[in-house]
Amino acid sequence: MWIYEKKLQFPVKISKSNPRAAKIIITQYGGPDGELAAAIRYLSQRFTMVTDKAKGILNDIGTEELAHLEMVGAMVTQLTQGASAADMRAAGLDPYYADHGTAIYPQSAAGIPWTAANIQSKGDPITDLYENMAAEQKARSTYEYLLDLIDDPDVREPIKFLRQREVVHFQRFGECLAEVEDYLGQRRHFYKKV
Amino acid sequence: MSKLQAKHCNQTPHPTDRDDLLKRLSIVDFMLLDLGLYLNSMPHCTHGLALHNKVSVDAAALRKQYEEKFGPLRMECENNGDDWQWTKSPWPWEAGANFKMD
Repeated sequence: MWIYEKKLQFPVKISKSNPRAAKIIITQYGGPDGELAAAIRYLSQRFTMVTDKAKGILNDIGTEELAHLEMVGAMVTQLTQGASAADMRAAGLDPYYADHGTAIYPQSAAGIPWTAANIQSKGDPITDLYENMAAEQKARSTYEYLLDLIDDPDVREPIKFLRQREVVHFQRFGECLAEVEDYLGQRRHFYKKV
Repeated sequence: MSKLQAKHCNQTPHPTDRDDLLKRLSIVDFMLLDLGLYLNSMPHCTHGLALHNKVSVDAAALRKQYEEKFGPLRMECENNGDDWQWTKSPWPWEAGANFKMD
């Protein structure tokens, strides 16, 4: 189960509306490498994970991803606060406005609705942990691309925080992989280790 | 005070007691989460364990202090008042609920 806490993990306090930024940040809400995908991926994989330590890491990182989903939703909400239909159109968000108004809908920057096809839950613990390490790197790249495109420090600060969390999660999944490999008594590196 | 300073003050109002307490609580809660992930992986780290226990005491005290002054952070906590407090404070996704990072 979960207990809701009425605060964000890291503050989102954006003073200037900017629907153009909202249009791209939404991808970390419902895009292929976004927070919803991350949460569902880890929270689903944990049911077939093999060691207690690894179950804990999937459970707790999956839970943290839900807090990140909330932060990204808060960013998109505040960036479109008070935006008129004309403002949305000027930002290229008129198709989005036609379907969702200024609501928060899980989709990629390109407008593709969130889909479970974005994630994998394979039942092979080694495969799942490699999937997760790749997912953390893909999310890190996305946050870096967002930082290339966004100047407002109010928006950059929470993105920088989320980017750092991808780095930490990658590290934890890497340690987890080593532990699970030892547990299974096999090393499945199909590349040559130097 | 120069015109520029006055303008600056208007743009960044003095943080409220609520902002200050929320920030302190957010810092210790974040430490606990990040330490927790670390300890999942390194369960025998004595330094990490000691830090976790110290910070969890600080976090509990700050959470209690915050909830007494500014209302519940969890629906499960004791209700202080004649009516239900849970929905009264701003929701976290609203800008006004958040403190400014400096």
